[in-house]
Amino acid sequence: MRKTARCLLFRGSIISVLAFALLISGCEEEPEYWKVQSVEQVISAYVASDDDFSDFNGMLEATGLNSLLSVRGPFTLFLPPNSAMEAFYAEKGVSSYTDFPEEFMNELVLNHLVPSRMETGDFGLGAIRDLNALGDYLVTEFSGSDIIVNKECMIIKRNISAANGVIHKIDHVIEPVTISVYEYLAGNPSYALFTEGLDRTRLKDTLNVIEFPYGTRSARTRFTVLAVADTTFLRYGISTIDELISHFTDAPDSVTYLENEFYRYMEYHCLGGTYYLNELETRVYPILSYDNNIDVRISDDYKLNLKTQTDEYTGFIIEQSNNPAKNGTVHTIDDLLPVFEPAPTTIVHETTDYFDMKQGDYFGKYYMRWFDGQNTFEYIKWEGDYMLYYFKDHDTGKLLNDDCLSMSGWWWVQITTPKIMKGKYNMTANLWSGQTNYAVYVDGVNTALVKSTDPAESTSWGEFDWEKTERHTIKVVTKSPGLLFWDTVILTPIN
Amino acid sequence: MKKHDMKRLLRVAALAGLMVFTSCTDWLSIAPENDLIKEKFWTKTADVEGALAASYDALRNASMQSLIFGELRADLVEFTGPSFTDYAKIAASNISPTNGVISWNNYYTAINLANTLMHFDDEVMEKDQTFTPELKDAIEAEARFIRSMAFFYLVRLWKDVPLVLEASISDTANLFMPKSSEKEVVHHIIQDLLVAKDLAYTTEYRGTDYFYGRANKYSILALLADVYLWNEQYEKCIQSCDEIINSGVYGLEPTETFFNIYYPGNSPVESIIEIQYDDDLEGQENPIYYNMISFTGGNQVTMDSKNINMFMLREDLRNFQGKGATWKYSGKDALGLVPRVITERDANWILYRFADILLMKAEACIELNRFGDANELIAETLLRAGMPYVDQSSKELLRQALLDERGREFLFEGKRWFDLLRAAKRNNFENKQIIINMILSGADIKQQAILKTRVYDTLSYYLPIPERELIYNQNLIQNPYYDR
Repeated sequence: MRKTARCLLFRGSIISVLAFALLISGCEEEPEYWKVQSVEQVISAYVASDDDFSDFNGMLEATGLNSLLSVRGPFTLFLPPNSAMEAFYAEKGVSSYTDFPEEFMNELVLNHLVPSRMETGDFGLGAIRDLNALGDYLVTEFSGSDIIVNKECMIIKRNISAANGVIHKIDHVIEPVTISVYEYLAGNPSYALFTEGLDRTRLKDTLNVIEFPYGTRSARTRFTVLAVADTTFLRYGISTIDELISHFTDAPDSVTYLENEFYRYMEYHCLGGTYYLNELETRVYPILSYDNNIDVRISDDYKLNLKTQTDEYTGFIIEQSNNPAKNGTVHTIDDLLPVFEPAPTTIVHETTDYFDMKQGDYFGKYYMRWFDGQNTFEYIKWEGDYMLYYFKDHDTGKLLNDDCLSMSGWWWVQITTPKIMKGKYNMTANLWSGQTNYAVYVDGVNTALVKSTDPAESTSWGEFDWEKTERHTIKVVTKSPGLLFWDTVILTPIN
Repeated sequence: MKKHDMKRLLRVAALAGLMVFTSCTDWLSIAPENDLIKEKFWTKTADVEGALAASYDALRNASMQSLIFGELRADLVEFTGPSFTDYAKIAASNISPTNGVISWNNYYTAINLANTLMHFDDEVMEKDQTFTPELKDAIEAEARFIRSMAFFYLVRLWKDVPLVLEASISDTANLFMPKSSEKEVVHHIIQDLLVAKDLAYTTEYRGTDYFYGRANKYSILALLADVYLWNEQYEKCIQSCDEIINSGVYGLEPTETFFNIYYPGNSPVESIIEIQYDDDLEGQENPIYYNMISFTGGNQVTMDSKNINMFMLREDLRNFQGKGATWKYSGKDALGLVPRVITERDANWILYRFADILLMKAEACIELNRFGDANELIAETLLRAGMPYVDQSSKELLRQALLDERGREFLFEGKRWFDLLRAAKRNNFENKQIIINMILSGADIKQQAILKTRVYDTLSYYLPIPERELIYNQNLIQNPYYDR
């Protein structure tokens, strides 16, 4: 009996120890590391495995970026072989990548990297959809069936699949673009008159800015310049800057003034925002000051300011367009493109399309909320518990760019639009308000009371006849506690 | 542990080891209890017929893909909806070897089954006297048809493909074959069909569904005519067509009963061979109804009205009163009035019918400058559809008239892309502008910039070898267009 009891006790204690051990070991969860699931190598291993890329591999190791290219990604790498690197060394007057300053080497590598998977089937005539790791656009064009990157590098082997992305082998190093749109023009004698025009109007100062301080970081500027070549001016008998100025104004001494016709002409060729040819759509694009627009139609050609009665328009000289600069792109157009006020067209203004909102890391990635309705954003104001940047990481089929502004409880929210071209418009919106009715105020005037049962996308918020091209405030006020998802405001011209 | 316990343990282990090793060879030679092994199959006629049925079934498994690829890159049918995103890329000429829908598995499965049948049927003849030489020949003829049909799709879609003529039945089979040229494969198809046509049944099963669902001499001739046409052997194409025409077995379904071609199908007048489906049987419905043709609305395939309206008038019987070509699979009458019900998901897929013979002959006649014959033949199907026809006198106009009429007659029957490619590749792609114009037409300036890089290289008109095939078989070399 005693022996049996001792056995039982012994066994029991062993079991207890084992159980305790299991409990302890089960409490800690091993972190889950990304593992390669396919037979393909990760990008860094691919580069390291081929001696033909030993120089680029050396740069990856020197910068520590080989570690980045060993992880999940996806990434797209434009990979130059040693022969391309040697040609680059010769251009730069060095003998090896080890002669490059560290910062330059870092930028050089990042310039070849896009933090998403981009296969050549995704390339168009213009910018690759996503910015590269330097925050710049890489530009693709076609020569026959060849793909040229940034005007000088040909892809010699496409779409090499890696476990964490894709690799394209190229025949030249892609040197980072450092010049501004102005510097691009100034460095090209074909645009001497146009460049001088930018100088005289001092638009040069704006177009030379690449970045500026914004809060604790810096923000990039983005421009599009529609340049006119000297040969085009010559068709109109214009061969000097004085002739160019006097072609547009009788006041040549005041070309720095905003109301001066020559200033307006030059400004009319400068858009705020970078638009490569493959990104253009049929819509109006505001110029720098937002005081006017350029009408773009995409059909069998790119048509600027199409005159529908005569079918005349200004086009692009495509092979001289899509020129990348650090702060935008320069296209060459085939005519003067004089100042023209296009007829009002449908404007879709997104409630999240504001510079200060777009600077956040959350933008286009995840939710964010704020509580200070007066001081957070320049053109969005609110009162309520908080305002939410609502983002869905998949195509909802309902939200433009999968994001919108959201409120809950008791609230009002007001946006200020960009300058809207003068004209007559009917205003509607994509807005869902749950079970709540809401009032709409445009420029402080109550224009509509919308019920929760009214169709969201077609109920009019009012008709407006605006005599000036200017900004407008649009305020939405809930009449009872409820939800708000506000995506866009749509202004449809009334003929 | 005590000494005697250890000894006992060792004895047990030794005994177990002895049992394992002495019985090893026996275990390796024991047949699986639940599976059928080669030695027990291939013993009787029914085994061969079963294998033949499996070969037809494999060809049927390829039918959806064949239908889609026969229309996808052409100009008359669009495949929309979430099920077709990978196909949509191909339609936009954005074709990657990693695209998951690019696969030749179904075709090679059919080929391997046909090869296997032809490998083992001699054994059956030795074991089963009811499996006569005549029966063997007839069944082999069907197997050759299946193999040839599969290879014909392969060359039209991939151009150069492995020519696999031996069954994969042992460890010594060569599973890593390189590509053969299109020319070699087509030559072999023709040889296969020439052998088959003289061994096949003719009208033995006429009056039964067997006649339309299984290859006979006339279906073999139809395929042969198609292959000759592809291979620019126009006289031989005409001879094959004439053998069918002059047999008196087939004709055009009259205008009044035109829709019999599609419902109930197996037209006793016009049908030559159709892939059979039967919704009354388990698992025998046509997969086209899974996510292409819907009974509740929301088809994921649409006709490109703009392009179709350029050559098809509303009054054309084949417009089905505006219902369009999807009505061939969803309707029961030519007037577009009576739809199929949900238990009738079994429209056959027609491989060849008499109208095809007439128009293949017309195409061959045009190339041989027999314009009078060509005009007469084209007129036949147009008149059947209630439409007039004006004779054309120049080769170019006749070629266009023929292409248009084939477009109208076979809309959404899986032929359009092959018709266009055949026309473009004539005389070393002398007419590749047909494909270029089609791809660029309707594209805006942004799309044109991309498409122009893809359409001038004629190798881009063929699919890439799937990347996974290149990994498994290092003897395969990718289509150079996709290896840049």
